Amino acid sequence: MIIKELISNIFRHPIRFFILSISLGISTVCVLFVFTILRTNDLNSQPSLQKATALLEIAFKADQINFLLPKMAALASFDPEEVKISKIRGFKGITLKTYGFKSIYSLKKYRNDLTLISGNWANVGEALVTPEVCDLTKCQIGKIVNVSSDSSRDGKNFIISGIVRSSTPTTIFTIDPSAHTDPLTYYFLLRNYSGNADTLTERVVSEFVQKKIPIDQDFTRVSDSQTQQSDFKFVNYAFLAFITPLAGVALFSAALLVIFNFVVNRLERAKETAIKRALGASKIQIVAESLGEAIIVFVFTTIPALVFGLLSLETLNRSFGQGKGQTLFFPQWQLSFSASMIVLALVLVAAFLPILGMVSETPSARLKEE
Amino acid sequence: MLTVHDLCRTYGRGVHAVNVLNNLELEVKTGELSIVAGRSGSGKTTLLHCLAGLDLPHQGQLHLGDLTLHAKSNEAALLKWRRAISFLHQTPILIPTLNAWENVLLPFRYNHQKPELSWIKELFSRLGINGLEKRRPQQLSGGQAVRVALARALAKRSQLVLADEPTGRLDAQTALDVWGLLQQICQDQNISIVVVTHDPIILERAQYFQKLEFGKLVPVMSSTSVQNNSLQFPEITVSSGVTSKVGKM
Repeated sequence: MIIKELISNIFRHPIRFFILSISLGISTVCVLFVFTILRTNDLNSQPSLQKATALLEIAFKADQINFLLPKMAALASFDPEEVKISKIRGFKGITLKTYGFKSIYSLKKYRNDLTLISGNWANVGEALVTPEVCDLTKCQIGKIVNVSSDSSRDGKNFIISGIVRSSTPTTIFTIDPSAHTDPLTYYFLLRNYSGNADTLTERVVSEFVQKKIPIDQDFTRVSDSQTQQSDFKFVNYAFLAFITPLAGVALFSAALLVIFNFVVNRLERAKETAIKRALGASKIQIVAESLGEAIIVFVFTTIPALVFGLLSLETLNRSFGQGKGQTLFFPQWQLSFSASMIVLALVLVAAFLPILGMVSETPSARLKEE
Repeated sequence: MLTVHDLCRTYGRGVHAVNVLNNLELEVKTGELSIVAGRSGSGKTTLLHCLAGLDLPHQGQLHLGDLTLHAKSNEAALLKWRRAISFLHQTPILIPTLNAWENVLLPFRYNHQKPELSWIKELFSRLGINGLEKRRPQQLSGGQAVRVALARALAKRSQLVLADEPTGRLDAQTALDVWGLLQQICQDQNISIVVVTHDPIILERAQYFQKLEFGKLVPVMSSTSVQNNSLQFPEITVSSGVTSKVGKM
């Protein structure tokens, strides 16, 4: 009965509620966008991504596995000042670039370029591989791959759960909760690199050719992560510069509107509140009803707004990040939660203040009003 | 049952202070239907609000069973008092988002009590509002709304019911029915009812009532006194010079 009454109270003035919903919705979306952009900029500037100034992917044919170590050593010698080979020591078998993710959700968020060809998306302890990796290693779904990582230099076993098409074909994606950061474990790191990806690829290929190291040029590429993220950074800052003031104005307007709405509601229902107190309602019960109403307003307005906001971020990601294997925004449910908590706090304060004034006066004063 | 001793309630301060209730004494016994009459502005509603714990007196004490109210009573004491009595406001303030039945159940929600549904159904029947349970207040006539509010006041079976002008908005026949019901419930249930009214329909039929005058209650005997206009409501002089007499209608 209480919930029904609270919902009915909200819809007493549909137009007023509609305007309030729109205002709160805009505020929620703006706050979510600001949080997401700030989080994305934070992720882009994390050390793990900064290290990835440029990532070399060198693909070797399966029959060249025996020559893998000398080739890597040769690569290290091509420019000792700029190139550092890491994770060579202690690896077993063929070493391919491995991305360790804490969950499949996390993987899909960071790598929206993946398409499942066969099998299933991976659970914890499972891995996804590309058809190219399958071709190189003769692996298949259900088989075990041994993958070395930062946390386990001797390698960890993962069951292959599916085959995915990826913009980085020589990659294994593992779901490993012990992965210390969501993205990336690199095997070749170039430090202090200032060129772009294409020129570096040319340089690498020419060095390999010069040193007569056989490589599969189809699979040889350099992902210049830093350059790509810089592009996104500019877009992100542009969004931030646009949305932050908008979010401020929207939030302020919504605050005024919510307070106004609750004050007017309370004044309209002053006699009802007084008669409820005459019927035995305590101050706490009256305040709780008002806060309950505020929470229902919040649920009706914020949840659709969050869904809309997250879908918008996904759409922007698809529009701007498509084909680059990178992500413009990193929307996270935790950010939605933070944004919604700000709106909830606003709504609760706006509901609490007028009702506090209302329960402080004697019911008699209101009941005597004509 | 209910004892009021030395009750004072003042509005305003200093030279503008008006003593609406002035050392008022009242005793209502168990099973008694007590009527308080008085002209408009005499303080009837103020008295009823003090009796209902909706307003605190500036002086004096009210006793109801083992409950006491005085000028310095806190919110907890007021709440206990309000939960012990039932109050009927002069306009039937019903919650518009609840139907008639839910409005009647409202006191049980706030008092954390289980409603006695058979008694409430009987009340609906006796008040002639059977079949209106699902109607929202805006779908009820003025008279029906008053009767729903009365059902809400009586549903709890409180030992003391306070009614402010319960028949003021009803037609003569319905007012008589409601008045008869109040008398009957008072006897059947052995509860005390205090009715504040200036409705001649009630006053004509009362053998005894009390008139609130200059902040004090003055006993008036027999209904014939009303018929003879012996209520002697003072004339109200309006600034335009037109005079009117409040009392028998």
